Amino acid sequence: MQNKRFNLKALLGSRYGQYILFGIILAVLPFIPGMTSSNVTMLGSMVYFSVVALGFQVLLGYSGQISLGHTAFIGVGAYISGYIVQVLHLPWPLAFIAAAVIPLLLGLLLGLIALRLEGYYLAIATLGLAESIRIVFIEATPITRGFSGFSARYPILFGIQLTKQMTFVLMVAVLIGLMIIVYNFINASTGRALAAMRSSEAAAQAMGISLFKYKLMTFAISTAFAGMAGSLYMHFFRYSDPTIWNSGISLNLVVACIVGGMASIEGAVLGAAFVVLMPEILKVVPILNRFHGAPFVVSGVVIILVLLYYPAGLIHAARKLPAMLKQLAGRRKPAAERGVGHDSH
Amino acid sequence: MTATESVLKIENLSISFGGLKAVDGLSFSINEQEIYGLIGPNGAGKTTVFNCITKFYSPDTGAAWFKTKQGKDVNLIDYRVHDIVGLGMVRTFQNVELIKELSILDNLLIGAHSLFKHGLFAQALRLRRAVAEEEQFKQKALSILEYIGLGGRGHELAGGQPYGTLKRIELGRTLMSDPKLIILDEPAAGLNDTETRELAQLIRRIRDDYGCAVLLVEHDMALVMDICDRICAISFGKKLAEGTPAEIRRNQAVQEAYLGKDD
Amino acid sequence: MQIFFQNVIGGIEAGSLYALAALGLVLIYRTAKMSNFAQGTIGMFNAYIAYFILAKTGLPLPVVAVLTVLAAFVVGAVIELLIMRKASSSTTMGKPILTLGLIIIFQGLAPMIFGPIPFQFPRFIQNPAMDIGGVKMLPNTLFVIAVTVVLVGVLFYILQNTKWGLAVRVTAANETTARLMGVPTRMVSLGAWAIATALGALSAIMVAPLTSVTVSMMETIHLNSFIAAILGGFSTFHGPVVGAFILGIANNLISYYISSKWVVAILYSCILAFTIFKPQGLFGKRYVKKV
Repeated sequence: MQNKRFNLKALLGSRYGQYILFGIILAVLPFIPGMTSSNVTMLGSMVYFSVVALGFQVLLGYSGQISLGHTAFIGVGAYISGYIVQVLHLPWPLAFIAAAVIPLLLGLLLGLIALRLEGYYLAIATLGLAESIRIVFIEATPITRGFSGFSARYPILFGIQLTKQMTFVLMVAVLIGLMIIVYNFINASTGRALAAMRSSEAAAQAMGISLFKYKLMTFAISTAFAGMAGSLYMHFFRYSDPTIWNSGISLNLVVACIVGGMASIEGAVLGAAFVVLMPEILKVVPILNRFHGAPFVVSGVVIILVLLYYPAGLIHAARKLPAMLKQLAGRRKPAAERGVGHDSH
Repeated sequence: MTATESVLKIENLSISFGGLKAVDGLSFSINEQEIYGLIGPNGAGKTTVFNCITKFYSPDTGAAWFKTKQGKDVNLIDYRVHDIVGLGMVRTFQNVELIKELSILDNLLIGAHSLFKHGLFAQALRLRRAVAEEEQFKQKALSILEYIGLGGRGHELAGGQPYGTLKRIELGRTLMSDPKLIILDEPAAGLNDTETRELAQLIRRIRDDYGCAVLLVEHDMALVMDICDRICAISFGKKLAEGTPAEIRRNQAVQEAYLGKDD
Repeated sequence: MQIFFQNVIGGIEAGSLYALAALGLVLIYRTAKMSNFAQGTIGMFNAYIAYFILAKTGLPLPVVAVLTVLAAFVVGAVIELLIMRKASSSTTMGKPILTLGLIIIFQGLAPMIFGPIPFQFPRFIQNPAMDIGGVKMLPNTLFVIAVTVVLVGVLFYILQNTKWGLAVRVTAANETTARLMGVPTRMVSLGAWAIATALGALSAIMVAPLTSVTVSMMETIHLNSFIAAILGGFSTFHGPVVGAFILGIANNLISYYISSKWVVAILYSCILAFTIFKPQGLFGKRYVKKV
């Protein structure tokens, strides 16, 4: 028992360890006896949305740009992945890669145009683009089947037909892998360049950081993550139609990053969990569950309160917990090392 | 003797904002390993000169010939703002532009940004070459921290440090880029006398140890007269006089335009 | 040729709705230096209020409209006082994001208060279509256009020729200086929010008969008003209005002569492409950035 606790502590010491531990706990959840299928669906919703939010965090939190059209890139990833697997009968991993690469290229193309515009023009341009792409979803019926909807199956991986639970584990694996990837480049020269850019664009340029390059890069990363999440969505929920990819998802992405905590990997995941789980929780709250739209009001109020009074987001509160526990255990860490997701290793 | 060769040669530089000539046909040149001061009354266009040669502004006319650290002669006007540091010219800002939420060490590493060869992909997958590169620059940053008198404090956050320390960090950050010419925008602003003296020593030491030239804009005349090899005095964007501190001190036009009023 | 004019008239009607909304956007953009992404949603909420007043009181429609505008003034002022003013010290990044929070709140509030069922909303003028030189036209269409033209005209007159208009323009040019010179900038931003919200509400009650009152009724108008403002340029007050009419007419013509399915995609792509060459929009000015 003593030995086991020690191992856990060592594991919790590194961010990789924490992510992997988090992933293992998450992956085990569907196999807990008594876990209903609809609960697994809810968890899947959370994990897929975490992937999008993680990419969106790179864009919004780390590079300080806002898009209101990322729902479209998730949709593009979903349809591409579905089409490649169900119609072209190619393996899922290939579809997953295509679902990342094509939104990535789309993101680069849009970024090349929209990043030349100033400030919130990017947000409006992406809003317009999302609407245009939604029309493609509706009208390009040979590929998307329009409002009839596109159905898919759980993925086949290495010749094994995955079940719902196994697909969920796959999603968790993708999420944890991407979290580690983001952690890596955020804690390297790329992350420092983004921090410099957020702090002062002029100083960043003087240090040789091309604003355009990093804005474009982060935009493309976020669209690629959205595409990958779309692929996961398609093969977990096994269905897509144009009504799913509405602007509400794009809004929820912004909420997730802000409420969870800007410029924080864990914040994005926590925020995604908040966005997905909060309406579910409100469903069981007495009185509130009798009102239509109550979840909207609550999440809208929360986002405004967080922005006004707690801009560091929920992750900041969550981070204080282990520090407090550690203090209780008599083991103190200097403040700098707990940084805002910037601890360098 | 390379010391007499010029590292930066400004020719006939002009820029105007809405009809107002901020810099008007200015020419001067800085020799290798020289500490060169640019002085002038408020609004004389000193910072505008800085912003032109570092390409934050595009001058209307003129050239800025620079001998890069790769040994080429280039006109800085042809480059983009973020290319300048890679050529070997690096600047500081009047009101210290450091990143508060990053550690001192990370702030220094940003100074080496232009030297990082491995990109996003290698960093994301922590390929060995990216890790090695990071480690290499971290070592360099640690030794520079030692050099600027902040050894062992790399893990501290930059935010909340005293002003004198921030100025040192910013100087250390310029050294990370292997510069040939460091441009300092009012380095003594906000420092007390002791801090200013220490800064003067540090600037001179940097010149001697790193073999680079220094161009500074400064209001603190004591500092300028103390450390500069040569000085250029400007007023209303035009050159008044150029010469050694002693010559500038004696110069009639400079006294009238600047020193006389200031004292 | 009749068909062409038919489309142009329809386009001007749609453009009117975009123009009112776009003017609201640009008022807030210029005085508070922020994009109000919630304008459409708040307009939708005010359309529900209009419906509520109409259903409960049975007052004539013009009276309902006036009451709704007053309600919208209050809604706009409350938002400014309760939320935006508190955020004025925060970053510019934060303020537009606050309006995203507002979108979510009002999207929830509307069904929470008024229920989830869509409502039908009557036209201002019920008379059947007239035939003018072969072009069929609803009197209501003319009414919408007339209301817009008059309102835009009055607003521009106020902006250009009155003390209050000057205060708005000065605040738009430089808020800090304006405040130092004794311009009541807080009043200006309060007024801007109130008027902008009222403009959005008017746009919403005029579009309500076409779409019925639903949570999503303003989505297209809102997006188009933004695109119109980009097309015309956010840095002037008249640019977005002109942009709105161009957008409305172009939308109808492309829809009729090229493709009704792809019209939105074509239109947005064209405008995005246009902004590559003129990022400041048709009437925008470029300023040199200071470092």
